[in-house]
Amino acid sequence: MTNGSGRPAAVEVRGLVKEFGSRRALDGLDLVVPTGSVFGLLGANGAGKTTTLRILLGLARPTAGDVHVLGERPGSAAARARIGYCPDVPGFLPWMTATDVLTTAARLFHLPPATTRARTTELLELTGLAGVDARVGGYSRGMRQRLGIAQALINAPDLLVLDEPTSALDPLGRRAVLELLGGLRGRTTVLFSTHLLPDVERVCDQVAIVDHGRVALTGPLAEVRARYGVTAARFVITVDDPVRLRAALNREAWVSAVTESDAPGELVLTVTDPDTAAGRIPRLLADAGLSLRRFEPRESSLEDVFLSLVGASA
Amino acid sequence: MSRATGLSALLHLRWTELTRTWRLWALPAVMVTLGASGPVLARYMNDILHGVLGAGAAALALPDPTWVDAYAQWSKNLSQLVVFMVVVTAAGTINAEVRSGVAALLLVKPASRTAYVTTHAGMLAAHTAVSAFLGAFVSWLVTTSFFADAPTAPLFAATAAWLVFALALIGASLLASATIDTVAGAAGIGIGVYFVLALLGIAPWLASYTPAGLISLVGALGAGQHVTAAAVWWPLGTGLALAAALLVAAVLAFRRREL
Repeated sequence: MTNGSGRPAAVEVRGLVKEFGSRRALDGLDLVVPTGSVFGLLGANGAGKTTTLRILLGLARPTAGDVHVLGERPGSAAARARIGYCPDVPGFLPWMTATDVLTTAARLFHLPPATTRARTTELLELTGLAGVDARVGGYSRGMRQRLGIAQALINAPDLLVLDEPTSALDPLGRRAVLELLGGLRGRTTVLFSTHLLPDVERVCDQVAIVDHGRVALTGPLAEVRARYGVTAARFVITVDDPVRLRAALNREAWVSAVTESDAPGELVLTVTDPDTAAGRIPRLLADAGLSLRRFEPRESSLEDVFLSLVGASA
Repeated sequence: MSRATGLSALLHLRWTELTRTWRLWALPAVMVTLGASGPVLARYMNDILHGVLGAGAAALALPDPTWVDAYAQWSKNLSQLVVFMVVVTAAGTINAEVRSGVAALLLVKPASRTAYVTTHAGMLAAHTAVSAFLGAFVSWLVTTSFFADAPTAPLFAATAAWLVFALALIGASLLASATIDTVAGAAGIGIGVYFVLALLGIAPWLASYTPAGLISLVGALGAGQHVTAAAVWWPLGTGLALAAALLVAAVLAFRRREL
C-alpha cells in the first residue's frame, strides 16, 4: 500500500479484530495512514481508538487481522526505534525530573550525548518545561502531558502516535501542541486519537472516524466534509431579534430545524430546499421588520459528519 | 546486544532509581539494625530474663551466651523478618510500573521486555546481597566485641545460603508481579511460596535435596554445626536453579502480557 506520493503508508491495518473475553473492542477495523500526514483518529469514548493505538505500538496483541507499522511488525525493535508515543495520561517514575525523563528516553534510543543535550533543551523549551526542576510526581496533569509529548519527540520519530494529546491542556497549551503537530506535517507522520473535533479540523489533513470498533469513514479531511457532510443545506443568520425570526421560520414548510448558536443573535437554519430558502428569507425578514446583520451559507463541519455517522449508530 | 535490548539504559535507570529513593537505604538500614542488635540481645538475654523473672530465672539453669547465640539470632532474623521485606519489595516492582503506565512508556522504545524484567531482578538481587553482607559484617563486628572467639565463616556461610533462599523468593515474587496487577496479590504469592518451602522442609528428603532445605541450612550454618557438602550443595544448587527458573518464567509471562 502506498500513498499518493508513491511512498509506502506509515500504518496499514486490515481486518483488525480485538476481543476482551466476550467483548469485541475492534470489529474488522481497516486503516491506512499515509506517510507524512497529520492523521486524526476520531471517535466517541469506547469506540476503539486507544485499543487500535496500543496494537500499533505492540502493547496489545490483535485477535485477528494484519498490521504493519512503518513496514514492520508492530512492536518489533525496528518499528519501535522509529516511533514516538505519548498516552493520554503519561506514566513517569515520580522521583524523576523532566530532564531525567528525556535523557532516559534518549539513552534508550542511543542518541549521542551532544544530541541528547540539544534535544532536551529544545523540547523542554518547546513544551514550556524549561527551568522546571521539580520532580514529576508533583506535576499537574497538563505538565505531565506536555512532558509526555516532549519525550515522544526525543528521537525525532518517523511516526508520532498520540492518544488524546490535548485532553489535559489549557487553551494556550492546546494551541501550542496543535501548532507543534501541524508543524511536523511532511516530516513526521502524526497519528493522534481524539474526541475533540475542533482539534482535528485545526491540524489534520486526513481523518478516520471510528465507531463500534470499525472505521466508519476515512479520507482527506476536506473530502470527508464535502462528501459526507449533511445532505440538507444550512444558513447562518444574525438579526436584532432572533426570537421573532425563529417563530417566523418555524411556520415555513421548507425549514427543517432552527437552532441557536453560541454567538448572540445568531441562528443556524437547516432547510430542505436551499434555493427556496435563499429567495424567501430576505422577504420574510422584511415582512417581520427585522434588521439583518449576517446571512450566509454554512460549510458542513466535521462535527456534522461525526454526529450524522456516530449519532445514527448510537 | 545492549543496543537492541536497552539493557544498559534500563540498568542505568534502575541504579538511578535506587540511589534517588528511600529504597537505597531501607533494606541496608534494617539489615544493619538487626545485625547490630542480634549480638547485643544474645549477650544480655540471660540478664534480661533474670530481670524479668527474678529468682525464678535461676531454676532455668541458663547457659552462658556464646557467639552461636548471636549468629543464630542473625539467621533467625534473616529467615523470619527480612525475607518478607524482600518479598514485598519484589512484588511491587513490575505491576506498579504497569499500572502507572511507566512500563508502557519505556517498552514502546527500543527496550526489550526481557531486559526490563532482568534489570529489575538484577538490581533487586544485588541490593539484597550487598545489604545482607553489610548486615552480616556489622553482626560479626558487634559479635566479636562481646565474644572474642567468634569465627567469621559460619556467619557469612549462613548469609550466603539465605541469599540463595531470598533469590528464589525474589524470582517467585517477580513472576507474580509480572502476572498479577496488585502488589498485595503478588506479595501474597511470594509469602505463600515461603510457607510452602518452610512446610516442605519438614520432610527430611525434601530438606536434603531441594530448596525446601534452605531455611534449616541457614540455621545450621549460622550455628556453626558440621554440615556435609551434599547437605550444603543440594539445597543451594536447586535453590539457584529454582530462582533462575522463576526468573525465566517471569520473563516469559511478561513478554505475553498486554500493557
